Amino acid sequence: MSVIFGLYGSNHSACASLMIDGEIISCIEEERMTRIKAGYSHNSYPDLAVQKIEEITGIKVKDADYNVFVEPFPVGYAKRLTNNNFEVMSHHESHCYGAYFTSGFQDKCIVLSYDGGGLTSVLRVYLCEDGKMTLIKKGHWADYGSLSHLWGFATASIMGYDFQGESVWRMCKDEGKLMGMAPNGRYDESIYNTLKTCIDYEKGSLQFFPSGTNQRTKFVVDTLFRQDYFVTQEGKEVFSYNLQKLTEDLFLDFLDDLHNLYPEYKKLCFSGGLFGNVKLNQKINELPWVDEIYVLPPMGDEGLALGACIFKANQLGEYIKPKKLKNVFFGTSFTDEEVLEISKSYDVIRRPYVSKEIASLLDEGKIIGWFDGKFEHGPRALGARSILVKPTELSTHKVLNTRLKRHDTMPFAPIVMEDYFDDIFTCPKSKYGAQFMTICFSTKEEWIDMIPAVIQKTDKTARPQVVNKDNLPKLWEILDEYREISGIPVLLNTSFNAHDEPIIENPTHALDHLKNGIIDELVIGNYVYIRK
Amino acid sequence: MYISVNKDLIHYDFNPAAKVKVFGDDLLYLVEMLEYKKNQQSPLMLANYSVRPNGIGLVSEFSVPIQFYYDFEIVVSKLLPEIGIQKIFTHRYNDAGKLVRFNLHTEDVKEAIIWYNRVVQYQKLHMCEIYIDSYFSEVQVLNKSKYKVDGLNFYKTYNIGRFPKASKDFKTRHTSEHGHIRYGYWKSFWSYEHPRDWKNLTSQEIADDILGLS
Repeated sequence: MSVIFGLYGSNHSACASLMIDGEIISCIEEERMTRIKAGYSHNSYPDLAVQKIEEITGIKVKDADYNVFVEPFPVGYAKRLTNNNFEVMSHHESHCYGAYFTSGFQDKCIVLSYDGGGLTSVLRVYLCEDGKMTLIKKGHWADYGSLSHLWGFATASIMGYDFQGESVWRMCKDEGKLMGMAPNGRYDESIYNTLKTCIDYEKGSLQFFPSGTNQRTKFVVDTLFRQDYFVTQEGKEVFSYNLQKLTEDLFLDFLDDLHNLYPEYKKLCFSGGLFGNVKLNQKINELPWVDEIYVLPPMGDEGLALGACIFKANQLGEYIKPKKLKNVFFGTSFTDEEVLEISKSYDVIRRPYVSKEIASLLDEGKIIGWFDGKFEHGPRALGARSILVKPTELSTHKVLNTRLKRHDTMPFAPIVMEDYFDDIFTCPKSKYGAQFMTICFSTKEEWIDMIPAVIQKTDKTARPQVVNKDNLPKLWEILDEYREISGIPVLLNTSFNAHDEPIIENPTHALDHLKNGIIDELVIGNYVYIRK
Repeated sequence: MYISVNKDLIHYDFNPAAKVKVFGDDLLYLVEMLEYKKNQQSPLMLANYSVRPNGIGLVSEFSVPIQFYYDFEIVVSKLLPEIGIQKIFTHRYNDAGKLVRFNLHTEDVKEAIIWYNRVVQYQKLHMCEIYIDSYFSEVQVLNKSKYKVDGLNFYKTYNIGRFPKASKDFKTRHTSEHGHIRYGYWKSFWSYEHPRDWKNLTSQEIADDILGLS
């Protein structure tokens, strides 16, 4: 039985994870601690994340049985941090181990990671069954194109650069804005074909080409920017539409080829930054031959430390079969007493939490800050650090965007009681994956006008989080109370942070939001806090 | 070397490392360098990025600082409406029939002669014309060079010697083989002048490494 630290640093999304005897104990992203979003820090190290895990658990990295760094990794830093007691594993192997062993897929499945690159490659594909993984494809940096590069470099160039030469929109942070704008655009053959010269796919080859997608994309988007193509909102939307369409067209062709080669593999597991694209995930989920998909909730590099722990535990025989995650709450937590102590420096009063009362406030249109237990691992707020609002008013968008200072292209997502999921959305597959808000679904016609605040205005899709009573009892209870009042088993759930901030971590951050009027009331643990 | 392609003028130079400049009317040009490796079906991307034309702006020259021999191709492209990225010029390294300069950085005459012999071997293999620069008249005599340096256009210059790692050598913090350079995210070597660390190599091995004769 072993104590394993997984570690990732020297790039964006530094993170640390701790696993003991095959159980995930803690996973913390450095951005939550530094309060600087990963997209702003492409040279981050997991110092504060490690410090926090050591503080919570009392277990030091230097005393761990195994410390596993994921490539690319900082050699000198690793030696210092671990007293030279560390090993190294491949970037994409970590992505794939993380995805597969948290999927719960015991039978045949394909596991695939695809991103902007590890030390040597941008893609890996495994055939898996019963805990065994067989590598069948590796896409090397030097001769393989990357769809993640297409998105990252388009994002970094589309709004130009500031006076210091920094991108206005950031790679690894703002890709969702382009994805959010895409449905408002239209097909444009010229843009589509232009993007196709950045990256293409040859049917039957399993090969994206050419390599160097990053700089080819930058060249194209920088040129279009200089030609004032993006001056209008329409230009940005048309570009985004064609970016999304090309991504879907190429990747679905690739999956089609994989399916032709391995037709008996109908479940798919994904990890890597590309699969932050929930619209792409929707298209995959809707393929007729696909039984189920699962995307690792921390699908980007912030999930690499977790993958490293799983990899090592698997090697040691302590984690040999895929299991389902009950939730991804692996961060810090605070007792009611600790919160009370922190709240004394704020001009607030507290009262006991009563779910029915909060449900009524939601129905009245109040914006509720929701802080419950350990924080989520990954980019999505899944009911531990969330802002909850009723989903029935489209005007909510304007209020929330103003208060949170967010870009108006970013849609808001629903949380939905599991029992009602099939009534509201069209595709009944991949509900486990949908517990982590990683897939979009099309909304049934009759629900579109009932929950307009959580539906994408143009294509009528949503990125729901399925909530069931066993996994998230408190969140399920508030949904149920709200359903009793309104008849709607859905709430709007957006991440608890202002624009350009990471999701909040501790009660101070939450109370600051209350003080600044971003939220109307704040639920933390068993109490509700309001401004005096 | 200047090459005119329609309205664009492309200048490339491999002395001692590859550099490309473009003169033309477009806002940006894309320059790429591909490397051909044995047993690889398709060339590998070594470097690519956009350059501003006409020597204006911060990035107006494409350069890959690797100085030793490798089989590469440079590709210059522009963005055409409706089409996208369109190649306008390619050039694969080929010194056959061209004048190549070899600077022998040694103060040991025996070593200079060894290196000279390897240069001759290179010449036979590549069918190029050679110019050798050395401290030693022995080598100059053997060379029987008919050229004078002034006014000559060398296609490529090789520096053969023992070069310590220089501050300009990019040391990646990512590599597990610390001290090596990784270029194009995949090519690993010791310095821009040497494919391998010269400290444990013989004189002949040093020259062969640099000239791609190993």
